[in-house]
Amino acid sequence: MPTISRTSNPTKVESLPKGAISIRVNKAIGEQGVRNFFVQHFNRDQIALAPATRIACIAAAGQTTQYFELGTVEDLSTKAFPLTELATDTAIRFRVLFYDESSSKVLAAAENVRAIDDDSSSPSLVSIQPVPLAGPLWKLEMPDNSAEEQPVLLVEIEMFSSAKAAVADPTFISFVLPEVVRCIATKVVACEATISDEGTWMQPWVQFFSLLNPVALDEIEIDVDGQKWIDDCVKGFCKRGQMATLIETVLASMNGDQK
Amino acid sequence: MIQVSQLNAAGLIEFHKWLTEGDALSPPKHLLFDPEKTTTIDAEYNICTDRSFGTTFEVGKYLHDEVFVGSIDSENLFSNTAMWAWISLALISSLVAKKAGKKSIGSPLAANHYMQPANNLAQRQNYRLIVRTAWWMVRVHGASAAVALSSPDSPWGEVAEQTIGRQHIASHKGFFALAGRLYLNADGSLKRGAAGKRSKDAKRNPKAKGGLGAMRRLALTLNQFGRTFNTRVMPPEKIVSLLPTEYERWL
Repeated sequence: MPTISRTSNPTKVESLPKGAISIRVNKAIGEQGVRNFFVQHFNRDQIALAPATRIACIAAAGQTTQYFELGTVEDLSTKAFPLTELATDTAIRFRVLFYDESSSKVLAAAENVRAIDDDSSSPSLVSIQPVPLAGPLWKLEMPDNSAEEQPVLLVEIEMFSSAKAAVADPTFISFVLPEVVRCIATKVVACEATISDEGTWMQPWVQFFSLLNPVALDEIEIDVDGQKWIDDCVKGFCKRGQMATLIETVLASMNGDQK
Repeated sequence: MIQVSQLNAAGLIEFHKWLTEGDALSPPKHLLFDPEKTTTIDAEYNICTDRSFGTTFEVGKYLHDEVFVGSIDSENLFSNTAMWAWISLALISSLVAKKAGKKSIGSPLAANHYMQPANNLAQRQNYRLIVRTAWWMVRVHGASAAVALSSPDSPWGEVAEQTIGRQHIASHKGFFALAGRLYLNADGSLKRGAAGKRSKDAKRNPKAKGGLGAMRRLALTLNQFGRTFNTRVMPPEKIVSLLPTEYERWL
């Protein structure tokens, strides 16, 4: 009879390598106290599973847990899920399961995934600054290609007296941020920036776009497919996490469904 | 009916003093109305302090169905421990020992069943705050929460401790659906032996059947299955088909 040891893995459940999946937890903009989470990054190349393998996630805090279905390896949902059943007095950890739909058998798992806390000091890719604009309500200022400082979204000070006030307005954010993303994607394409351009403000954006768009910029013919690549980045941004929730909220309020 | 409030620091100290060394038959219910010992909360919820309840499940159902109704901010509610201490005091007559044992009838249980200690080291036992857990369990599991919260002898029975105290069981809807099917009688009461415990002697004797197949064993079994199956998506019938023979007598 073969010996079962800590290294023989009798369950055949694979462990996902560290960093293959990352999850972000936010407080929903415009709502008091409701947290949500979304998958920020998933590298499907790091694990050999069939595209139809289902993905689920168990969020745990204290003695409470909440279960979510996240789609499949091929089509992982990046929308935001509200965390409504969790204790609020302890840290959140996630267990991500990859399982076979027909047998419910777990094929792989990522244990104890810590949330990246949005309330922490993680750097923003664009800063917002209220200023008198004497006409337009917003304007994006992008630094020189080689500079390290990040782009600044200028907003009319008569509309928002602080960056916090602008971020708290779902209509403003859902109308303006996708176009900010478009402007920056256009600049990235024009400069043919790459992920190895360290020391420039564009490098983290190229990294960010690689999460939104499965096609890498250096894989396309820019003259032919550049515009489509930009459009796909903007669409990916709108379908993702908090932005998708915000757009849904704004559409619902315009249709008269006040939440 | 009065409006739900929260105990302030002085109120919490006085309530804690009664829980640990006070006269069990004279709970300090005057604190509920003392403006020096309470403060208001942002939202308006009304509660009847004269109601009495047979089980903790009934307490949770009352709080969920009749007190915290309408548009509620569940995260704020959950984290307002001073409010839950106030509610514990308001409903204290239904939250004390009901059968003589370690505690005499009418005595409060350990203080952390009524108020959350400020001590961070005690955080792992926050689930023992009876009124909050009862409300939360009914909110998450509905009628199935009765399985864990229906002890007629204690507001916090052994089954509650053994199920709600396990992280991956407390919120597991499949567990409560399955446990309801295995261990509840048609009238909603627990089947005899469902809360049983395997004794030390029985654990040493593979032929002894005492405590086998009881609810606390089901929690362990499901935790084990959870390593190799996604039990959250499995219907109860499918889980039943995986269960070992010790559960046969409950089917």
